Amino acid sequence: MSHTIVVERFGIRLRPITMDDADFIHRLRRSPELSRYIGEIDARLEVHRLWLEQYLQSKDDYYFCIELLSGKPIGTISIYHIKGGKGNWGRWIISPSVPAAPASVWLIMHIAFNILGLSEVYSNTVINNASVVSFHDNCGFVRTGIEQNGLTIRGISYDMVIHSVTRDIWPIIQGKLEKPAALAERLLQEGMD
Amino acid sequence: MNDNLHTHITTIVAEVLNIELPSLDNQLRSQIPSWDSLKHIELILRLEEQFQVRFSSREVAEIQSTDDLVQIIEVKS
Repeated sequence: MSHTIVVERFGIRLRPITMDDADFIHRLRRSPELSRYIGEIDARLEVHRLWLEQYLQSKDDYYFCIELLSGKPIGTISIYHIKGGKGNWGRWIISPSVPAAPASVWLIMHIAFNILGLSEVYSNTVINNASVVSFHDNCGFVRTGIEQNGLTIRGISYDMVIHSVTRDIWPIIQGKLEKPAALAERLLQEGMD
Repeated sequence: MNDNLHTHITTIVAEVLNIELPSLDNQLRSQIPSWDSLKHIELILRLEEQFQVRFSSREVAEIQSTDDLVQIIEVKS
């Protein structure tokens, strides 16, 4: 959906996705390194642009570009399927060369709980995506289920691990993410631009 | 490579990742699922504090093993 939420901390910014980001997202989602465990995307840029146009007309779907303070895009993240105070956070893809993963998660949780006023967010991660499942576990997100055959990628079905975060445990996770996020900010200031 | 330093760093890696490493041989990040991007940063924080060094952004991005950590700290400390 078209929204106006912009948040900035730890050397990065989350700002609304626009049609100008179409090429960047298409490249990101088709990167062999980053797309191994995410839903497939059509190879044709025009199909992707059409999807993005439809996204901008949708409701309860907040899609963000993660960018450095210089404006250089480094990834995407979103909250969608919002219903009954709960939302799915995902479409989380971030360049591994930039140590901004903890910061981007801190910011999306801040949006979920402090701006959108949600009571819970959850994520679905392909079970084979071990380092991302581990990231969620180490953040303190709670495993609340397994979605059998939740995603099919290139003809192979994968189970998904569902992690949840409720508003009451967010302060604990917030505290856990702040030091790593602050280090990332220092590293970014020292020259990731 | 300094054996004591190697042992010290490997011990810290095991503590931060909360795992038992099978040996003190070089451990690859890609083969340890719990060495995720959050733990990687926590590890850098711990090593900076322990050895009073500062890693550069390039170094943080390029570290892929315990040997990489030892080499960088050996030069810096």
